[in-house]
Parts: sequence; structure tokens; C-alpha cells
Amino acid sequence: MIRTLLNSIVLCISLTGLSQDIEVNSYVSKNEVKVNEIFTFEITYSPSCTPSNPNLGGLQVMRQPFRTSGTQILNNNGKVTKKVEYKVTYQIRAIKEGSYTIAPVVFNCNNKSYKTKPITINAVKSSGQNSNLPTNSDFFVRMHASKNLVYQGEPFTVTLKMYSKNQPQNLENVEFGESKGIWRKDLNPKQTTFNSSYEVINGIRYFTTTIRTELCYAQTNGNLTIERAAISAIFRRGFFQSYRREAKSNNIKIKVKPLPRNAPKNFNGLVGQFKLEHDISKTTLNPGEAIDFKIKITGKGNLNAFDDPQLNIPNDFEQFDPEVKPKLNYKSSGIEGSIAYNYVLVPTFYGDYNIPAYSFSYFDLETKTYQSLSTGDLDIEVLKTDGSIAKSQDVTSKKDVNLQNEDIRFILNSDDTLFLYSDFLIVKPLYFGLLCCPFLILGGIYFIRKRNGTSSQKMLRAKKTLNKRTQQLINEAEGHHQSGNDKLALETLNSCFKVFTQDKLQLSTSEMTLSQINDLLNSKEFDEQSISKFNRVWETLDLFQYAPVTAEKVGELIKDTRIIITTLNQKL
Amino acid sequence: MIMRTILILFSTCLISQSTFGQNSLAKGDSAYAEQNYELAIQHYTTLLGENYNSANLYYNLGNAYYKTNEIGESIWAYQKAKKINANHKDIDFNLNFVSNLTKDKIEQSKTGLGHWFSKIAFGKSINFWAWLGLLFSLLTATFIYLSRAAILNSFKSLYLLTSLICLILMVTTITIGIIQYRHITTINHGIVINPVVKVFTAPNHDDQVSFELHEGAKFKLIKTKEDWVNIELNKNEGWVKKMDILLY
Repeated sequence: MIRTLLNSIVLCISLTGLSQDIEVNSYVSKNEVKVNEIFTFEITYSPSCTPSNPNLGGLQVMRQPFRTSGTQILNNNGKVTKKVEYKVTYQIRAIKEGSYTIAPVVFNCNNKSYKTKPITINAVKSSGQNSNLPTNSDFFVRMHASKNLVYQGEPFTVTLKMYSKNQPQNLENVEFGESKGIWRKDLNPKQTTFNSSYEVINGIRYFTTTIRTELCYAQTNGNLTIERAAISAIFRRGFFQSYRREAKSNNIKIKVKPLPRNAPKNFNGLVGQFKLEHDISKTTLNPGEAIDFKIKITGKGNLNAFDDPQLNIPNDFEQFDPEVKPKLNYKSSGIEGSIAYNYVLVPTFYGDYNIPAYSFSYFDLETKTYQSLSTGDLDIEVLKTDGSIAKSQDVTSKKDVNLQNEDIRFILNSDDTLFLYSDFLIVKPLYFGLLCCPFLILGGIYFIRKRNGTSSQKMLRAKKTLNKRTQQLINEAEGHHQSGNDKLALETLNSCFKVFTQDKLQLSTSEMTLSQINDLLNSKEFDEQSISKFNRVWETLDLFQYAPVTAEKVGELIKDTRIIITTLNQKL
Repeated sequence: MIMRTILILFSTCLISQSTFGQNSLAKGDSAYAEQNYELAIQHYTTLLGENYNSANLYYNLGNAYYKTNEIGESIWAYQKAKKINANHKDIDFNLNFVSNLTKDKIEQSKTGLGHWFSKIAFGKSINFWAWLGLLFSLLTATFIYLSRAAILNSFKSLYLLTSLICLILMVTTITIGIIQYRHITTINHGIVINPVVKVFTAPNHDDQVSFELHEGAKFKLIKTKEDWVNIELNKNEGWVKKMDILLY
């Protein structure tokens, strides 16, 4: 309701005819009255004007109007003006309920005609309550925003104005409402006197005081609200008495449009128009010398949101905190001015260095686009000093390698082989089979060797037994020979020789003929002498059955037999 | 026959990795390099779905998870990678780095295997130990043969001693391989992957909350029961829902 009323007040501000020093006005003490309630209608005008009789539109004049004159002292932006005005006061009332219109009053000022605005009066029944009637319409506070639809970061102003029928004696207390997401700055923080003037609203003249004008920037988008402000003021009643009035202002809704989405990476909310200047004192120098690197941002916009430049200075440069010189003017159109940074850089090591460009972006409200500004890359050549060792040591003293950003390590190459759990040899039965293979092979070798080993040993044993038996029989024959029993000796010798030959040459009984034995001995490459010796022994042993053999010959025979057996043993 | 068996073993352990797997891994790596971490995760997890494993695969997956701010999954992947390759500095570094971002303070418990042992045993692949075991079995058999064939008694005992050492080494290497295999394939730990997880006193939502864990907290697995997992952490026990955790 209050809001509707305030809006109606805004629309009904009566703009009076103003011309240089001439000012004419008409106003009433109330525009919502009860029937038969006496109220005043006043006209004020400059001394050079003559008013015509007003047409009161059916309102009854209770008393003859009376004229007074007075002097007003007003403060306008620190300029104090003195104004003389005449005032004619009518005491009037409405007899019936309804709407009355007081026609414009015409003035003749230096032969020129001026007129005031018509005033409408609503008269209601004396018993009825009119809801439109403001409870303290003789004192209220209004907050007004220069814009209700802004971009995030676009400047706008909020003015807090106090309206009172009487001039307040003093301002006691002012409380400003909260405003989330809005940066606010009092444009005149040191003011001690306030701008004051008269304003006629709906035919009622008010004394107005501008309490505060703020420069505002919306920091977020969406619907933001500046909450109501509260004011209390002291008024004078009579000469000695004073009283206190309190009032709360309206709140203000601001719709904040977000900035376009395609913001560059180096954009951090700067809106307006800016310039970037930079200057470097020198680009070729010796280690230990200082460089002044200046960056200056000039422009108009929300410079309060400007972050100090973060320069990527090479590690071999000592750098100090920059000297910052802000020169900012807070105006109703925004923040104007500049911020200058002076960086002092001292290279500690020779070499060619590069200071990467410092850049930032801002949103240009005129072109509605993002603009980017950059210093450009700067190349610095630090010369190699050829002076003393001490100096070079001093200059190139060891420096810690500072970890600037820590992050996880990068991924590993994909040359690592992927595997399945079933790929592991350790889980394959085949693997364990293979593991046993060497032992199985070893076992096999021994098994085969053992089997082969038994047959050859048998042969060896048989050979040994044969030799042993043969030797025994020869020895026996020799014994018989020495005891004179040559016949028995020869029989023994014959049987042992034949058995040995058959066994040694592995012949069957039918094969035991001399010719066959000779062929065999020839094939086994026995020499002729041995063969003839064998034949002689063979034949002699065959012969003794038919013819007697002498004792000497028996001894010789035994000897030859021994030699032949040895020869056969050696060759076979 | 033996040669054929060896060839079969070679073919199974060397050629079994399909080109599909390697391609997918390479695709994941290139997606990661292009900072398309979601796509990289997709490629890596496809490989896991095909039952492929490798330390690098899990490590890279851990990196991709970290980059998408999935701390819990990231730690899980690094732990999996560490299980396969215990001595990789990058895995250790990243696991340590990401673990520092977690909220819960977990008491470190020794896994039972000494540091030196794990360094030796897990420094090489399972198949490396398997092949080494095979080599030692061959050497054992050879030295037994030599000890039997030697004429001189001193050589006989030298060869016998060597064969005994080889036999011990054979058993040791195969045991290491089996331990490593069991270490990789046995699931006995887990990581919390949701921001805040309630640990209940029993596998039931109606029961009391024992304590709360935050993303990335590491715990010991005791047993599982349907959708619930019995866990132990800092000598406290409790039950968590399976969907809140990843086991490794």
C-alpha cells in the first residue's frame, strides 16, 4: 500500500513554473480530507509576480486569505541561496464528499504569464477511514535508483531523500538497509550539510533533504534488493518544544543481467572501458641492477574489482611487493581514474629472460563485447659479469628451487603390457609339468643307464668266470703233466681249450671245425703266426688220441695254449 | 615335445595381450593428454571390464579420476596399481598426494610383508619368478647329474651342494610368484567413494550408526554379506553398503 502511495506521489510531483528567479507555486496542506475539515491552500510567488484569484472548484473559503512574506535560505550543492517569496494562505473546507479540483492559478510576472498545476482534493466522510491516506504523509523517506535493470558490474546510483512538511531541526539517526551482492560507496562521505529544496507532491509542498547518494555495482546477477533505510529526525514545535519523527524508506529491487558467457579466461568481472599502459626502465642490464616495471590501468568502470596483476616473473629475478598508486574518483557515472603499479625486479643471474605478457579482459558496456588488453611479452637481457669472483658469487648465490604448483604426476606410457590373471604361468598346470621336466629327464637317463649296465656286467662276469676257469684247468693240466700223467693232462687241456675257443668265438658245436675257426680268426684280423700257433695246438690236441705225445711236447703245448688264450683274450 | 610345451607357454604369456587392449589403453592415454578425462575414464574402465589389468592402467585411471575430482575412486585405482607394482615412485607419489586430500585420519597398518621382502618380491613380475623357478629346476637337475657323473669326490660334493642351493632357490622363486599372485588377486581392503558414508553397527539401515567415513578413507575388509560389507578401521568395526565403496 505504501509502495502504491509512493508511486502515486512520484507521478504527481507538481512541477511548478520556474524561470530563473521567478518561482510560483500552489499547494494544499492535505489532499485527502474529511468533510468539513479545515485545511489550507497556499500560493507562493516571487515579489515580481501578481496572482489572479484562484478558482477553488467548489471548496468553501472559511476566512479571508492573508498574505505574508518571508525569506528562505536553501543549500544547493554547497551553494547557499537566499530567496524572498510572498505567500497567500486560504483556509478552506469541503462541504460534501467527492473530488474537487483547484484550477491552476495564473500569475503575471513582468508581463509574462505563469501558472501553477491544478490540485485534486478528495473529500471523504468524516466517519470513514481512507486507506490511501498515509499515516505520516507529512514526513517520509524515499529511496530511488537511477537504473532498475543493469548488467553485472554496471554502475548505478541510489539516492535516499527525506520529505517533510516542516524543515527538520536536526537529523538524529540514519540506518541503511542491507544489500547482498551489491557494492555501495557513498559519493559524498564527508558531507556535513545536506542538499535541501522544496518539492510539491500531489499539491502538498515538502521540504526535501538528500541524505545520501551512493554509487552501486551489482556483483552477482539475478534479482537483488536494497533493503529499507530508516531515518529519525527532530522537528521544532513552537519555540521551545521539539519532537522526533521516524520513517522507513521503500526498498529497491534491481534486476541484474549476467554478462555474456563467452568470457575470456583472464576476465575477472571488470566492466567499463579501460586502457593498459606499461613501461620498463631497461631491458639490458647487469645482474644485481634493478628494473622498474610499471603497469597502469586507466579507465572508467568498476575499478574496485580490479585484482593486482600477477606477473610470471622468472625465478632468477628477485621481486618486491609492487608500489601501488590508486587515483580513483567516485562519481555517479562510475569509478574513474587509474591504478598504477611499480614493480622492482632485480635479476640475480645472467641470461636471456622473458617476462610473459600480463593481460586482462573487461566487458565493454558500449559495444557489449569482451575486450582484452595485454602488455605483450618483454625480453630482458642480463649480461654476464666479467668482474671479480666474489661479486659473481655474491650475485649468483645459490637459490632454493621453489615449488610453485604441486599436482599429481602425469600418466605413464601404455607400453606396459596388459595381462589377465589367467596369463600367469604360476596358475597353469602346464608350468608345473615343465618344472618337473628336468628331473624326469634325469631320472630317465639313470633308468636307461641302469638297465644297460646289468647286461654288460653279466657279460663281463661271464668273461671273467671263463678266464678264471680256463686258467684253473690249464694249471690243473700242468699239475698232471708234472706228476707224469700226460694223458690226463692232455685231456684236461683239450677240453678247456675247446670250451674256451667255443665260448670266446661264440660258436655252436657244429661250427667247431678248424677251417671255420681259421676263417673267423682271419676276419678278426689275427696275424698269421698266431693263427698257425692256434692250428698247431688244435691239431696236436686232436692227434694225441691216436698217437702218443712226448713229455716235452706236452710242456710246450701247455705253454702255447697259455699264449693263445692270452692273445684271444686281448683281441676279443 | 618339451620344445612345443615351452613354445605354448611363451605364446600364452607373451601373445595373449590383444591389440584391442593396447589400442584402448592408447586411446585412453590420448584422451587424458587432451584433458578429456571423462573419455579417458571410459576407455580405461572398458579395459577393466574385459578383465585386463596392469599397474599403468590403474595408475592412469587414478589420474583421470583425480582430474575429475573423484578422490575416492582415484585412491582406489592407485591402490590397485600399487598392488601390481609396489615399487613405482610415481604411483607412490600420486597416492600420497591424493591421500592428503582426504578428511579421515587412518592409522597405517603394516601389511605383514617386510619392506625389504616386498621390495624384492614385488619388484619383478610374477612371470619373471616363474621363469626363474624353471631355470633353477633345470640347474638343479644338471648339478645332480654332474655330481653323479663326477669321478673326484670333492667335485661330487661341490656339485651336490650347488644342486641343493638351486633346489632351494627354485622353491623360493616359485613361492614368491605364488605369494605375489595371491597378493594381487586377493581382495582385502577397500576405499570409500561417496562424500560421507555412515558405518552401521549391523548390516541394517535401522541399526545405529557406529561412525562416519569420508571419501577416500581406507579400511580393511572382514567379510561381505549380500549388499553389505563388514569393515575394520582404526580397530573399529562396522558395516557399510557395497555401493559406497570400492574393494581392492
